[in-house]
Amino acid sequence: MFEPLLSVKNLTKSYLIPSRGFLSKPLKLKAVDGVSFSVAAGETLGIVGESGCGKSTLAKCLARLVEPTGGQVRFKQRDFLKLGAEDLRQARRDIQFIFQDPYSSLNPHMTVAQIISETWVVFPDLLPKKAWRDRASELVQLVGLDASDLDRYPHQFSGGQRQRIGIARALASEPKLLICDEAVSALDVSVQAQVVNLFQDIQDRTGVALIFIAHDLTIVRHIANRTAVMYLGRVVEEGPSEDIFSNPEHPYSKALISAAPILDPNIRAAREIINISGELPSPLERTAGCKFLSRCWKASDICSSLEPDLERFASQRGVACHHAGIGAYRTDKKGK
Amino acid sequence: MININDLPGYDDAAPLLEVDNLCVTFESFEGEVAAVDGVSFTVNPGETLCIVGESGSGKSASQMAILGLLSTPPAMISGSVRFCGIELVHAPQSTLFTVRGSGVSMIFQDAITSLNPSLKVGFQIAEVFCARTGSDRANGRKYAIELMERVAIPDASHRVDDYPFQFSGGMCQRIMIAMALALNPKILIADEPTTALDVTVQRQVMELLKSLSKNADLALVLITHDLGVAAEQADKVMVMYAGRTVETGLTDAVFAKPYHPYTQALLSSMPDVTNNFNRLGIINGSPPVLTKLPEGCSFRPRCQFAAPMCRLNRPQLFVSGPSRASACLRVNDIFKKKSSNV
Repeated sequence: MFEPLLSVKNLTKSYLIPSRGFLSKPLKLKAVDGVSFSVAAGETLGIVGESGCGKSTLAKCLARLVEPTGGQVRFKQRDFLKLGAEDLRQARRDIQFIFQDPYSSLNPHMTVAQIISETWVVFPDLLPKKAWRDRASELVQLVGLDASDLDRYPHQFSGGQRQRIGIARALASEPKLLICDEAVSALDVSVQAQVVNLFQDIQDRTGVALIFIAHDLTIVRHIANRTAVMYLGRVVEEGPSEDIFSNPEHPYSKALISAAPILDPNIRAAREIINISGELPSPLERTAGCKFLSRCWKASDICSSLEPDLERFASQRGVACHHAGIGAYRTDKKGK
Repeated sequence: MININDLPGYDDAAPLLEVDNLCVTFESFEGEVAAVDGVSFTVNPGETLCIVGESGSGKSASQMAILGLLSTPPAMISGSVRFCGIELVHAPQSTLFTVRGSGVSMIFQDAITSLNPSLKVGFQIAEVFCARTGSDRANGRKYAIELMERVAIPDASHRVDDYPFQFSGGMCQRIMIAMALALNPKILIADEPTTALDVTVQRQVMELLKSLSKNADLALVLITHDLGVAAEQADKVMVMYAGRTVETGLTDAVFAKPYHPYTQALLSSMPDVTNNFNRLGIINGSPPVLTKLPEGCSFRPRCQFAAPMCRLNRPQLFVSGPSRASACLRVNDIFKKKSSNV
């Protein structure tokens, strides 16, 4: 049977927060709460959501930089969460991370060549030492830098160039999956586009799968094949990007997408802005029912008692809302 | 309290804010650095001007200089800034004290760190009001509640006694706006007011600013790097690059048909609903380092239209259409010709 590169089932990460009282039980904060999705080889999955919705925790769980508390992650047909220390170390050469801040994610004491070669220090069987320099120079050229940059230090580069170094480093182990956590949000607008295009080039060339996490909706729409919208640790809607952005079903995705500023005055005039009141509630406040309840304009009785699951509708769309798909999708599903 | 009307130079007929050839230079080890180099603009009542640019383009420095918030030295400021005819550059502190708050006020990007964490928000909002009008704390508290209601903070009468940490980012930004409005200024300068906020909260703050400028006839100077925000909020835009203004004009006109290669490239590098499946247009290279500006036009090394003439001198801003100005020497070759072909 065909199995996707990465499949995640019911992934959960909760933290225990000490509560105020002396003997009272600690509170449980569910940063990631039962998330499921899959990524095929060469595909780009975008994850959007506001700060505090668990995007970054999810990303770190996928590389086991933090240990998930529950659920399943299968990567390359293996149960990724059950790997022992050495197996995990080996498996991680296939999962690489690109971080948000290009300034603090590079060691200032190392030259670019050293930063990139570090991967081969960790995985010596990947490449003989003699070939390091040549391969490093290939990599920096792949990301649009010059081979003469290899002996320079990170402080001699601009933000966009540093992000390129970070990408070259991530590519050194020839990964199958790149996780980009807000990889372009710290960059200037004119440089952002260069890096976004670079990601697409690299994907075309190497067939690496991308998980692209960002709060900038327009960029995710541009780069991702599929998009998952997160709210308070849960995926509330998932599906092909074009579908999600042109026809969001979940009230939160609707509000989120309508709130993004639009450049073109004609499109802007046609848009209907949905203002949702308030802000993200504290993840500690445990309520039964839908997590979006407090800000939702469609809420009804069922929403306060029963938390909706991500239900799959037509065309691989999943929506976690009792009121979603009142039109075609819903009848479709009931008929089955 | 001195009224603005009593200040020397006050003139009712003068433009609300008139900035003329403003320069801000800093002394550095590598010589003088011009963070802002000859910027001019005017703001009229009720109008929203958006200043767009990347980091280091001088957008914040120019606004800080307007309110005299840069300490001199190290900054050296020349040119002229007139608020209702009152000269603010090198003005005595007493003049600046009077104009700040009641004439021009400012809000900053990071609201949470701009507030004092150890004082109740109500006190912080009313502080300037009490100091200026000499009213007592009880009155100040009442006024603070009124202001908090004006910026749509729910349950203001209770929350007035809360501390900043009890508010979320969006609410803190509202508190900053309330504070800035305390003395009924005529101009509000907002430096990246929504950058640190989430999309849905950004929308709320944008709507608030819009309603304030409409209902209270408040002029807004909005500094942002987000072209989408600029397109939605502004009547006029001013695009800055390396300390200089490269293009000004009415928002829709500029974004529909830019007259400067930088603006054009910036717009094509934004993913939008319309160019979704295409590759993004890119601007090669990165923004220049101010100590090592290229000779001639500072955008030249990154410009696809650069010609030998662009190396000779830094182009001045000149009129390129109805209420439009562009600082591109080749504006007629590149943009006007194209439009006549279409």
